[in-house]
Amino acid sequence: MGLIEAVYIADSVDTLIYEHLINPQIPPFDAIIHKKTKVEKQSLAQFTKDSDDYDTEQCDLVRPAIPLDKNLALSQHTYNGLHFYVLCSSQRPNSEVERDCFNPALPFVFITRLIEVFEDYFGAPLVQSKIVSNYDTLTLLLNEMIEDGYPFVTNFNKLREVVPFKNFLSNLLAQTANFSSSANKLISSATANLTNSTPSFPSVPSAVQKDAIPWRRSNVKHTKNELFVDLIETLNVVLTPINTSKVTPKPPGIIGSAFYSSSGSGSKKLVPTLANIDGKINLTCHLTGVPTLQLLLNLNNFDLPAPAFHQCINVERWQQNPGYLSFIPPDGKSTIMNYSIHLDEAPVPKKLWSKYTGVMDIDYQTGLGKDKNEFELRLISKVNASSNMKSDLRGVPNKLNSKYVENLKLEVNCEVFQEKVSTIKGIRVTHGDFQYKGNGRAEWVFHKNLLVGATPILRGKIVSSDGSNEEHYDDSGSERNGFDIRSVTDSLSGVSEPLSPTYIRLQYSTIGSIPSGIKVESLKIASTLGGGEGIKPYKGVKYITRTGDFFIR
Amino acid sequence: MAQLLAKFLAILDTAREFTFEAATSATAAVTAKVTDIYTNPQEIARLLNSRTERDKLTGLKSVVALMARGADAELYFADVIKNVTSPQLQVRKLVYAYLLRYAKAQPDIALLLINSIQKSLNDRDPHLRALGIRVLSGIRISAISAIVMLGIKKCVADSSHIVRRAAAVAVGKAWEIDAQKLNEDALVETLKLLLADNDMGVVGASIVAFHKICPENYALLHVHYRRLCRCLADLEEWPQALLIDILTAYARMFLPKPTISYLQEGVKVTIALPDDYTELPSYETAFDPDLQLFITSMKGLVYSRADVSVLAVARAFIHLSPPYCLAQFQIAPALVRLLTKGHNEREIQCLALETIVVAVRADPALFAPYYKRFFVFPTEPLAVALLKFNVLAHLVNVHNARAITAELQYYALHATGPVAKAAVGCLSAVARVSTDHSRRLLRWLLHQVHKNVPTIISECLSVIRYLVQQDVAHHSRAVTQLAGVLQHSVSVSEEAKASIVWLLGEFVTVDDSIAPDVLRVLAKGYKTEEPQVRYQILLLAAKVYCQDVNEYVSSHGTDSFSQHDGVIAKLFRHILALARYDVSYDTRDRARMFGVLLSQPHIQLAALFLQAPKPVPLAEAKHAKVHILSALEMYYNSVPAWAKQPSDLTIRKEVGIKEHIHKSFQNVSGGSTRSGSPASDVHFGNQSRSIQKKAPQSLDDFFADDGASSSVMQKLRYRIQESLEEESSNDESEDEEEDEEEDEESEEEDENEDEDEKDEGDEEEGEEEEGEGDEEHEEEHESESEAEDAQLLKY
Repeated sequence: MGLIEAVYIADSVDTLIYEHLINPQIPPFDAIIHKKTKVEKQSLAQFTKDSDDYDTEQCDLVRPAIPLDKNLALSQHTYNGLHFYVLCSSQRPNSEVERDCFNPALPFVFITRLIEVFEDYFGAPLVQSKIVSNYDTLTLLLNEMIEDGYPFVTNFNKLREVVPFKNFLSNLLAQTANFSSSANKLISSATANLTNSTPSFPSVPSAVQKDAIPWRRSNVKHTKNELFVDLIETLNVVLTPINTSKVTPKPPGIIGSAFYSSSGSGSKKLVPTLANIDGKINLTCHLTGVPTLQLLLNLNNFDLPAPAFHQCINVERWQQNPGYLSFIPPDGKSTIMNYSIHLDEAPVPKKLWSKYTGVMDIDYQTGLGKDKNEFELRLISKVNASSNMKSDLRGVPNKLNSKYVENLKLEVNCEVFQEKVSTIKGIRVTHGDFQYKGNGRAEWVFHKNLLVGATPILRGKIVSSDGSNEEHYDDSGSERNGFDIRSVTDSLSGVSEPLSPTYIRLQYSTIGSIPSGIKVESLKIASTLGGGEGIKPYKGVKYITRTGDFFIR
Repeated sequence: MAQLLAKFLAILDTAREFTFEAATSATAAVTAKVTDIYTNPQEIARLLNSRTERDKLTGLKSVVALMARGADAELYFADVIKNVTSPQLQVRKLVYAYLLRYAKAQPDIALLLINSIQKSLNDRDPHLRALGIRVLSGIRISAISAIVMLGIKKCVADSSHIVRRAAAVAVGKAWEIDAQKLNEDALVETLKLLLADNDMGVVGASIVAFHKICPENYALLHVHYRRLCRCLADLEEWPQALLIDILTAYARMFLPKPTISYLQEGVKVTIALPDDYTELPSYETAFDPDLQLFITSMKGLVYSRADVSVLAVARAFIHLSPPYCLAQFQIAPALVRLLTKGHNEREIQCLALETIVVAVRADPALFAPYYKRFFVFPTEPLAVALLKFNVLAHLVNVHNARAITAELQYYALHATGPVAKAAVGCLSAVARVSTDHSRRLLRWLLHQVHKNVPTIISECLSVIRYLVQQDVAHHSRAVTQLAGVLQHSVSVSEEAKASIVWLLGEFVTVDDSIAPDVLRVLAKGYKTEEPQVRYQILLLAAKVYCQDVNEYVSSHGTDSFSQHDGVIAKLFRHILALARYDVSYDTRDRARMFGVLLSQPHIQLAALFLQAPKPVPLAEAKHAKVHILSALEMYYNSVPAWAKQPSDLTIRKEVGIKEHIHKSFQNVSGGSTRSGSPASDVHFGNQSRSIQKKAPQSLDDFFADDGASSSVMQKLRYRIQESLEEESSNDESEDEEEDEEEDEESEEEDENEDEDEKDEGDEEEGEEEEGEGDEEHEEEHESESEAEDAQLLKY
């Protein structure tokens, strides 16, 4: 056998959904999963033994390949709650000699391609029911994708040529399209002959295009010609408070007022310790024929270190002229470019960093209240901030403004000392819902859209689990009456350590602008061959900002 | 008339639009509903034996669904394979899929199908021919080995690259079913042909087959080495990654090791690539031209979205070049990019990190600019955090030490247990940077010990021990403070306590002012201590006593030992007495040992024993031990050693590639039955690749350069052509399919030259490359090739 022995898809509890065996003689899936859990347990035990007393539950080991026995290894990747497994052998067929080790990334990249293909064939959110109703197509696909135990054709554009897309109805559709277009050709060539004018058809025979471009399927025909560019940037930021001078304890009388006027006396400013922007450019291309696109990006003076490109883009040309992309796109949806900007490495002075860290400004105070176990969060969404700043700085007017902040969610996390925490209470919540989720975690969830310009405020309190007094105090519900209550932390361990969240995770997304300010300057169809001449496609550009690892600590 | 037609056209167009819309909505409706899949065996059998294609398809789908769910569908074998001749392609493909899975279980029935599959090798559609050979070789029955060989032989000469590619795959499979390896030589020969193909898909598939059947047979690659290097970028990601690995091994086995030269005391020193670069001044590297070719060809690949290739490139550079090349060729930033690709690809992230760990060992400066990328996010899994710490420990330097320290200290206090511990362990690496940092770190650690943070205290102590041990004399204050911890805080863990006691014992030789007093206090509470601590107390007592005796003896003379009887001696005997009755036999045993050792005759030995300088615990070893990702380690280490004696340069002289394009032109113009498309073999990548113009080393090389199309060349060729006119015209008249046009002719000529310029030894190969159809034609030529060679040399 070759390298890959089998591909499995299972649900989140490892019940088999789909299997594709290259080698019919391997043990059944259940046995493999059984073995896998056994090996995992063993290695975890080994690991915990090696490193003192690590809490086994927290050891979320990521292992590229779980060795099941001498020559079988299982690679696992989880996507959308589905478990993808690739079973690889490391032994050369017909011999006892062990194969030299294969590239360990191979199974994972293969799974990534597999997912790409699935989503192209069966639509974007890949769910179990889609797999179940398409067993036959899947089997045919995998037959093409793996040949002799090694990945064979994995490009979905190429696969479309060999594996029927969707079902017979769309086949029929394609046939009618073919028929009508051939009729079209026939008639117009007849017309051309009659009028003795030069035929409007390209002199390039369609056969030339066939197989000429490895990433684009041949004879693409669309009734609706569309072209969408999505610039999606993911923000990964860690904000750290500086000026950590202790909040001076105030006489009890003032606390009440300090509570409502949320201006803490010991003000801390949040400064990004690290900030990076992961960007990708998605292209959805539904164009007839073989178009050559010209995409001009305004890089906003960032020089992108080592971006990753789709096969269709010529790297040398990019290096000569960064920001200019000229390429023949693959049909359908594809990511044509990935980049990553680290503000630390970019020529941006640190004080201007906040301009690239998204639309939310956060004011965060901890150690408030008498027991110093309260915290306050104020979110200030910058109104047109990103655009204004950028026009000042880079001289590029940014017309695209976000109107809404979508899916805003904050997670207040105290997991590290969760045994000390009984609950986290929202004392004052101006927008959204604040809820304690257990295990030292609380979530502040907003309604779908939050208008830019609003300033939601949350004042929360971490209630310690050991303070029985504290419980009573909370039940009374009145904050100002509880002056006589001793600080719980004080009573706990004699060390006065105010409770504050370990970190706060911020999640949101906005449409309309991206933090780096990179923009699509122009998108043109330079030339088209093979029947798509003169089409005027609908073009659209979308800017999406998301947060990945956005932490306040 | 024309207008009418135009109108008709418009109507047709709108009609088409309508159909489209209707069809799309219908499609949506159909896809929403789960396709009918039957599970009843009788029903499935009935469907499979039905007359309508539609029922057959449903039946097959049901069988495939059974297969996909892991159930056994062997039951339907006969019913399924009956449909192999179905006119509907999808049915046939599903039958093939089924066949590949169950053929081995029912070889006898499967053999009945061979004929019909063989027939498909003659199909007009290249996709079907390709499918045919793939299925034929995929039926793993050794009895048909000869038939498979025949099929491969046929397909290798096919005009369509799709078929040739499938043939390349079939080579690997044929090798596998051929248990006795009877056909191995023939397969290797076939592979030789396929490697010389001009289509990158075919080359890619043959590389995979090469790796499978004869990975050690590098002789096959010699002639292709330069071409493979040049077209590396045009391959698909899978064969590309594999080829990089193969060429890396090749380079180490056959190419001279690069040399680096640097100035040492004004003299230029040239040495081969060393293993350790840390001591070297700035240097220049000289590569062998062939190696240089390989290295530059990988230049663009780091920008690839194919992560497999990026890792393979990184591995190649680590093994073939000095570390600075990783930065020069943008490999360091590319690896760093893999770290931040989003959270769906944790596995890739881990692999990139492991690669960085390997690379950073060679040269920490490579990743120093990116140090912030190795900061840990709270949601990251432990494995990632550990790897990141490992990298941070390597790349910490004077400029970033502050930031890294602050970050690690944050993790130590705020992260979950294991991460916090690892962070503290990593902090010890910071101490290496400067004494200033080391001092500040020690202060911080002592503070943590005082605060008594339970999760990290033992880690803190071991780092303190590491710091103190490096320079015991200057850290007396730290030791005093530790002693204070021992006395004042009650809740210090057993391990921490033991660790402190041990450290105090080590400190006795430097300054014995604290230890005796600490011992006194500890002796009081001996019975309440944990076993581990009791053991350490005994050790401390022995050390203190030993030191005391030594001092006494050195001041009073050797014979005075028996008179030595101070407080310390009494204390020691007291503890010894206590330890003799300890619960732990370890302690009891050790107590007896010290009792004997610290008596009159052995006191020197004891001193040697107890006061020997202990090795400083290695900071790196502490966190480098977590090697979770052994697969990558193995992958990185699986390279052959550099060859002692590099091979001769001439073995890599290129041979011509096999031009299929020309033949398919013939087919078209000759109205052949083969449906090859005219330019189907023009590889797209060729257009973008710049033509390399090398200085010709020899005439052969000059001609072998496939990109050469200069006018000189043309002239030369035309003159050769003239000189060969007679023979050529003969050939042409024989060949029915020959085209009359002159440009075609010259192309034909080109091929002949390619063929002919080979050395005599290669003649056989040339013959085979010509393919079946041209055999006669070639035989004529063969006899004349020598003469032609002579002709060529004249020019």
